[in-house]
Amino acid sequence: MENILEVRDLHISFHTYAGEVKAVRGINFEVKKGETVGIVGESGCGKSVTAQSIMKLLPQPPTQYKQGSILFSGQDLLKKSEKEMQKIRGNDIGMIFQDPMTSLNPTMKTGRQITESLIKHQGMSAGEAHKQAIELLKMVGIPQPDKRANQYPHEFSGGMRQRAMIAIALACRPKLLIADEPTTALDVTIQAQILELMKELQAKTGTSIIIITHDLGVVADMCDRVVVMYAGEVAETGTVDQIFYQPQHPYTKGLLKSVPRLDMRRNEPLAPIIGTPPDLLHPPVGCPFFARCEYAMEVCRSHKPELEEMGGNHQAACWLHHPLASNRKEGFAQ
Amino acid sequence: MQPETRLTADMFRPVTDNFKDAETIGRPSISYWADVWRRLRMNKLAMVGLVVIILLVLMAIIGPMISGYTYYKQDFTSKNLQPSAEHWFGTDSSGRDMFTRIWFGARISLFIGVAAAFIDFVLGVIYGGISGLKGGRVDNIMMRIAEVLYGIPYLLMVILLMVVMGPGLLTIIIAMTITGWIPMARLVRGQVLQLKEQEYVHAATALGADTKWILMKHIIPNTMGPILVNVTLTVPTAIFAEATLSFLGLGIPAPRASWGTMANDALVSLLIGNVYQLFIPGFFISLTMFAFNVLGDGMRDALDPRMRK
Amino acid sequence: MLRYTLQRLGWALLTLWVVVTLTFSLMHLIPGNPFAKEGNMPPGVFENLMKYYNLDQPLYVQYWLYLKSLLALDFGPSLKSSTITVNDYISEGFPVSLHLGLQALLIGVTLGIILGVIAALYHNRFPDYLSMILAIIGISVPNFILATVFINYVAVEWGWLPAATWGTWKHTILPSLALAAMPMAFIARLMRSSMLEVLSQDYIKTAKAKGLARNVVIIRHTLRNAILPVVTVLGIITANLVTGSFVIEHIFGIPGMGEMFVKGIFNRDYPVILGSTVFYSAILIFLIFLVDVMYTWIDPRIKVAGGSK
Repeated sequence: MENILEVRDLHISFHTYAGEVKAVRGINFEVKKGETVGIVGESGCGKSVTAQSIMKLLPQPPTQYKQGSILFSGQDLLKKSEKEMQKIRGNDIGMIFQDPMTSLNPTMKTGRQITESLIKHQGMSAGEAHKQAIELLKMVGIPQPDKRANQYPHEFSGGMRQRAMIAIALACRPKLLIADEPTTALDVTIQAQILELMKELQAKTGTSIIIITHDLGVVADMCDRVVVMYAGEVAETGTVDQIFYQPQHPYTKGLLKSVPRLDMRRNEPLAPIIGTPPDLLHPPVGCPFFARCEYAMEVCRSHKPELEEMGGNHQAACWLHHPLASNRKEGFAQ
Repeated sequence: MQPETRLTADMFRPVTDNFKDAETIGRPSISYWADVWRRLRMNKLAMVGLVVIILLVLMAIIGPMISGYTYYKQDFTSKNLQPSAEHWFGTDSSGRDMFTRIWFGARISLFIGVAAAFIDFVLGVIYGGISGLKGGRVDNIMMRIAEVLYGIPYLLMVILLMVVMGPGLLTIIIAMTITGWIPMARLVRGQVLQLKEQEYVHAATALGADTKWILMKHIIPNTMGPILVNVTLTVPTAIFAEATLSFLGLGIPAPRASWGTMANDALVSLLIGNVYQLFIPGFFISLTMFAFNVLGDGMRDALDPRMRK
Repeated sequence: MLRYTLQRLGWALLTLWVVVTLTFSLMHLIPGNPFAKEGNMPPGVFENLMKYYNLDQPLYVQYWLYLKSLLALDFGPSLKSSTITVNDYISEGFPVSLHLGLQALLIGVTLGIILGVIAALYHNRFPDYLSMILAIIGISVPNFILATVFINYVAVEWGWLPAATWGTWKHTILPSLALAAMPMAFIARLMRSSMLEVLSQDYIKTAKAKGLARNVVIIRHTLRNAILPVVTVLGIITANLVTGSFVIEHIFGIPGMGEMFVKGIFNRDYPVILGSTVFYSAILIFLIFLVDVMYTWIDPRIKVAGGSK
């Protein structure tokens, strides 16, 4: 199937008073048409930066796109001018943000916030756009949409606001929807509703989705493929089944072990990953996960592992898969 | 990126000391106030303000003594002299040495500013503290009272008080603090309420949390910062209010002088072209206002945790 | 909405009552009777005082009758002449002061907002520094200095505009600018920080993610939200303009209400000071009430909350 989005060797840095923070350090992934890809990792691993860089929403400076490319429908977004990006944002790519309480303009009626992109990208008149906005509110499951369209965001609940956000993001039927932690700020029951809604709308419209999350439950529920990020790099990538049932990177394994599961024995302890991610002001020369890895070897300290093919498009960046590490790998496989 | 050939089997031996790094890695942690100070120091304008304030205070202390003139000695043989080697800032319409008077005035103006800020601070902390700590009805009533008082036009009341009490250093300070404490009280109350919230939070989570750490990391920075900024910004407000009052003839009685009364006295000389008599005190009022304002702004920026990068 | 308006009106009336009571008490606290019959009083003045303040009645009756005459919009007599009342001063001077004040307000708010927006949009670049230097000068230099600089250079030395008095629109320019400087600086700084705050909000990111052009994001999504804090300080700004007008009208010799008030202060014309203070307070308190109500139109969130601060 054709790739809607291809991110190739992307490097992003922030210039701060203390120096250059290398937030994203050479990541690769792609999103196919109609597919849902999850980007998971701890806070600060660069997943949000990656998501926002696709829309080029990060202010430059301090952000600098050092190298690489972001190919959307074959065109490199990093080479596009701001004007050209404005035609793509909201039209070809939609975005949903983490906190629905702060993502809507408090002094603008909700309907108006939806019509903005319809008028801009689809050339609708204000009247047509308003009708379409009511349709969209109905589509995302907001009752009494004609009344709701004339209300301000503060009259909506959190879940309703996130539905409105989805309506805004999908207003122009974008080819790609980027959801940056779309359910993190919501109650668990509402989370499930929002995820259901996204799946339902994807089935209807065929949109590709990128979900940025630290919640493996969301990944398992929604995604076809997963990109596990650590310290601005891709640690492992594969299908949901590959990642959940045959994790090939100690970090992925650690993530899975640190999440409570229903099939756990009663007294079975959770296994958190100890320590903190490395400082990206001074990224380590070797494997970035070295300092927290229980399978660490001498080589990891000084040599950075590359992403290696594990079979079936499943890739991991870990020295354990090197032929010379075969005896160590046995301990990992258990 | 390293060529495969350089990898040897030996390099694939396990390491166990790697976890130690996990704790030490990361940038060296800087204490909150050290960080605030670092950010304040990077703010050149604020530093200029700080230096100016220090110089003004120093000159207020020694300035009146170094010229050899007194602030009150009138010499009608040397009236309205332009600045010269003899009289560095010239003389006024009564032949008094302006240099000495400026630094004597600096004492009065700075004293009024600092005293007003200090009294506002004390009253504000007491009123706001009681209001916030008592909470409930008491808080409600106290804040309603403050709201009504705050609605009273401040300088009008000050003028009225000055008229009633007669001019003088003490009356100026009293008049100025009569409503000046209210913003501080509101601020302190807000901080105290927040502090109480925090206590509930760590009562709930206290099982493992270190109270001292929470106090150092959250409560003190959040409480002290805005109060300090407010105090710093009260000083120029008071100095300006005093200057305005003096300008309306409600200032310090002669022969003593503040910068405001000197500017007011100079209005008469302006007609005969002695602009310097107005501009010199005017310059020092402006300089002081500038210094305290940029320092206060710089402190606010330095204290704002959102500015932390 | 209506409930909120009535509630605010109630607070305004309460504040006004406190002001009136305070001024009344203060006048009776003055050592020696400010309304005593003096030898140099013009004929008929003491009789007017007696009639208005009912000095022969017990204090509570005086207070009651005073409130009643205020309700009838009678602000009392003057010591200067038996035929001039504070109401005369108001009808004569207030239109002039209102003209000056509104013009200064318009200039201050417009320029302040423009400067603040420019500063925020060019954050940490040259236009930002330039705007903020202007703003810092605006808050540092007292209006009486600015006014004398204007008169001395723009009017006298260069002769571009008339130096004093009131008449054509040309006469209004210098005093309006001198009066507008402080509010302009204040609003510019407020608008800048408010814009920066709003620009960092998530909903601005949402707006950008819709593909809206930068100008649309700024005008439609940023300005309206950023201007809210400016609306809340309009009351303070106006109070500042009123006290500023005392100084400015005095320096420029403008026959406004402020100049009459200042003359009243210089002459210790207590009934005029009293009457003017009450009149000014009423105007300011009413304006603050208007601003509060206006705020509910602009910020849709207030309606439901019922006036949270």
